[in-house]
Formats: sequence, C-alpha cells, structure tokens
Amino acid sequence: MSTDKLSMDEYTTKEARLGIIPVRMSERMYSFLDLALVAGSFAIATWVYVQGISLASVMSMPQSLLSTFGAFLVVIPLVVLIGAMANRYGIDHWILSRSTFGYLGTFPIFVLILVSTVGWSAVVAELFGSSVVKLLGEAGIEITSVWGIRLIAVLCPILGFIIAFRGIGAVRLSSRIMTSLLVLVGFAVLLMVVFSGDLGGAWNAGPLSGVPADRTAFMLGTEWNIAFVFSWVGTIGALTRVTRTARGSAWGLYFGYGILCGLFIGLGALLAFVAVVQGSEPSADPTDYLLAVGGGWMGLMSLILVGVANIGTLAVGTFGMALSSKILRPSVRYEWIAAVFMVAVVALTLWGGVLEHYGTFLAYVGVIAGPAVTLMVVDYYIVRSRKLTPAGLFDPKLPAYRYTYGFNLVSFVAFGAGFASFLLVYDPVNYVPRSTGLFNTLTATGTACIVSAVIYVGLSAIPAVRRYVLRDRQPMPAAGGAETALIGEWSEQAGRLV
Amino acid sequence: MNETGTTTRGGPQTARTEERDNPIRFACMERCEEMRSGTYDLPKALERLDFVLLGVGVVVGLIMLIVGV
Repeated sequence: MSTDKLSMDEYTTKEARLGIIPVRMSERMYSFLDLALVAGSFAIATWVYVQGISLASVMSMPQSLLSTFGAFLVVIPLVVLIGAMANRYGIDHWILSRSTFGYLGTFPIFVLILVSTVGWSAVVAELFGSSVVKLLGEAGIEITSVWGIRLIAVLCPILGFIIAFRGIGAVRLSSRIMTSLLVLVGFAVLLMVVFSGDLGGAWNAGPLSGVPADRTAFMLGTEWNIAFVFSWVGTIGALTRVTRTARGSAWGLYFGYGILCGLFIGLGALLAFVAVVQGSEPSADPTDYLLAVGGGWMGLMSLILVGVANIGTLAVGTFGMALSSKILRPSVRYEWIAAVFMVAVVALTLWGGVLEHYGTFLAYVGVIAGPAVTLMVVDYYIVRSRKLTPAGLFDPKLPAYRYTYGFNLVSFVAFGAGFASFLLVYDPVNYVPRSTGLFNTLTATGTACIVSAVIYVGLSAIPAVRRYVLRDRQPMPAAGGAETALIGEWSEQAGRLV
Repeated sequence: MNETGTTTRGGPQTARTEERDNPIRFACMERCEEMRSGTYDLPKALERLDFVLLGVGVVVGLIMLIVGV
C-alpha cells in the first residue's frame, strides 16, 4: 500500500509539472530569473531580427524604436496578467480559459492558437535553415537545392524536441545557457554596429523600402508588433504556473518577453539601417546584414549563436504547447504530444510556405489571439473580480463553466464582434487598411481587442447575462443531479477527458 | 492521497474507484478541494504597486506611440 501510495504521489507530481494537475508551491521550480531566461530564450530567435527588418522597411529608425517599445509596453501587461492567473492557481491558462469560453468553448480557441504556434515554429525553422546555409556558404559549402535547405531547417524542431522531451528542468538549463549567450551576442552586435557603422546616417535615413513613412506605415508596423506580442499567448501559463512567486512570474515575463525581445527587435532594425547606409542591398534575411556589418569571424559567431537561439525557441515552444495541449486529452503522455507537435512543425517546414505569407500570418495571429487574450483578462480581472471555482474547470458535470452546451455564448459574441471589427478595419491578405481612420488610431488588433472587451463587459452588466456568466457563484448541485442531465451523454464523454 | 478516502463528492467508495480509474482527474479535484478549504498553498497575489507599475508602462508606451506617429 505504501509503495502504491508513493508511486501514485510521484505520478501526481509528474503530471502536475508536465500535465494539467494544479501545481503546488512545493512542486514549483522557477524563480524570477529562471522565468526571465526561459521567456527570453523563447522570444529571442532570428524572428526578432526579421521583425526589426520588417519595421525598417516601412519606417525610419527612431520610429522603429518608438513603435516597438510603445507597442510592447502597452500590450505586454495583458500577457503578464494572464501569466499571473496561471501562477495564482498553478493551473495552465488554457484550463483557466474554460471560465471565459466555456468547458468546450475553450477547445476551438486553443486549436486556433495551437495552429498559429505551429506556424511560428515553422517560421523559426525556416530562418534557422537559411542561416545555416549561409554559414555553410561562407565556409565554401554551397547548398542551393530548396529541399536541401528545408532538410537542414527541420533539424531545428528536432533538436528543440530533444530538449523539450527531457522536461521542465532541461528547458530551464538550456535557456540559462542560450539566453545568457544571446545577451552577450546582442551586446557584441550592438558594439559592432556602433563602432563600424554610420549611426548618424542610419538615424536620419528613411524607410528602407524607399517609400516615405506616413501615419499608416507607422501604424502598420505597430500592428505587426502588437500581433508579435500576442503570438506568445500559447505558452504563457505553462511557464508561470511553475514559478514560485506572483511577482517573479509577472516581472519575469515582462523582462523576458517584453524588454529583452523589444531590445533585440530594435537591434534588428538598427542593424538593417546601418548595413544599408554602408551600402548593403536591402534584404529580408538578417543573415545578410549580420555578415555585411560584422564581416569575418564576428558575423559568423553571431550567426551561429542566432541559429542556436532558434533551437532554444523551439525547445520552449514545444514544451509549452505540448503541456497546454494536454487540455485536449490529459491522459496522453506529455512526451507523445511533444513528438506530435514536432512532426507538425517538420511537415509545415518542409512545405515552406509560412514565411512567404508572413504578413497574412501575423494578421491571423492578431485577429485570433488579440480578442482571446483580452477576453481572458477582462473576464477574470473585471467581470469575475479575480474569483474562480477551480473544481468547475476540471469537472464538466459541475455547472460552473458549462454555460450553453459547453460554450459561453457571451464571450463568443464578443469574440465574433472583435473578429469582425478586425476585418472591417484591415485587409489581412493585401496588408492594407479598409478603415484608415480607425487603423491609424487603434490598429486592427487594437480595435478588435477594444471591441471584444467593451461588448463582453457591457453585456455582463445586464443582470440576466451577469447571472449566466457568473454561474460559478451559485451553489453547485451534486454530480448526477438535474443540472448534469442537461448535457447527458456528451458530459460523460467530456468527463473521461478529465 | 486522501487518507480517509473522503472527497467532496460521492463518498469513500466513489473516491477510490475514481482514483484508480482516472488518477489525473482525481488529483485535480483533490487539489481543487484543497483550494476551496484553504489548505492549498496559494502564492501571494500581485500587489497594488505591481499594477501601478504596469499602468505606468502602458502610459509611457502610449506616449511613445503618439510621438512616433
């Protein structure tokens, strides 16, 4: 009996760290610094340079810095507040989101975000492939075959998976090493740019596309930055639920996802301007600029470490999404889900089309993740006043978050309104605003967030709707009672999932 | 595990059956019950100062965006 009990305790502890079971304080492993480094490891990869270069193509250098830090400072608190929710209960934010979207309503939102995260991971892998091929080219090994490049690119998700497979401790260890090295590389790139480049020329140069920056161009770049921040929504709770203090969780995310990432995007923009002012051809590939400005061993060193950073990003991404995906089927082992995630990223990388449609992809992230994040924050902090019924998050037989056949219709109305307002303001396929006035004031994602929040809070203020949304405040009937019978067979099926 | 076999719902027999058949769900519900009863060690929530600092960051960010335009 005691052996059985011990093994059950061990099993529970493992499932708490790598599954959906709430994490007790004694099982939490991350400090502020750990979280900052893990979040930094996820955020910093070649994509930050790509983002910086994208900004440089539509606006000047001072505008790039203002847009990046402005957007990050405004949006990152939403990410931080979601992390604080997960930290408070030791429960992943996707489980917590059942209170917002309903027990079943969470699933479609989560799947949409999961798809976008697989897409982001494929972007990282493609950039890894192009960096390595450039490095090999510098070493005299030319690879021109598209399939050769893609096969190199898939090494990135595979190596990321190997780290993630080892679990939360391995992710922490790899992040400590990689983020520390990346900060050193960032500092080296900054020195390289400052001492070898024409900073004054870069500061005064116009957008690299040659088209003068107007208000719409600035807001377009800001829209990209906002979508960039929201793109991390998939992996927030998996990291903060194992962080020991609320303050460590909040400021670890703020520093890693916000400050560090913003600094590197700014550095990417700076690098692009300095390289072009020095005579480089405008390029969408940061590798070209690193080699042009750094030259020789410095450029190569930077490239190697930036390439390695992509592996760190995919290690944290695979860990976070595999853990969050357990919401779909908690009994499946974390390692198997991580493997499925890796295979999906490999398949998308071999297809090779995500980077081609980067702007549309960012718009997809913005239109889904923006309203979803905003609704979670507004629901928990404003409508529920930070009070939940945790048992209702795990038991579909309890009425707390069952709403209407598992869906909170109020949040879906608000989400739909946000989604529609985004499309009314911005055309994500052709990257042009449809309503210039609104886009130039709030951006498309900003509009979608505000519309969702206002509609959700407004509807929740109506007494009948408020009773519907706050069913978790009412006494819960025992399992098997009349309330449970409303969903019947479906409820039984969902019950087995938990 | 709960030594007395009691849970919030169903009594000792139901608890043992659920623990055997679905240990993850059982552990989730057990920890939720700890949260309800106050024995779950929740970390201290964010304090007013944290919210103020986040708010200051938002204001600074908005000013940067206005200047950038």
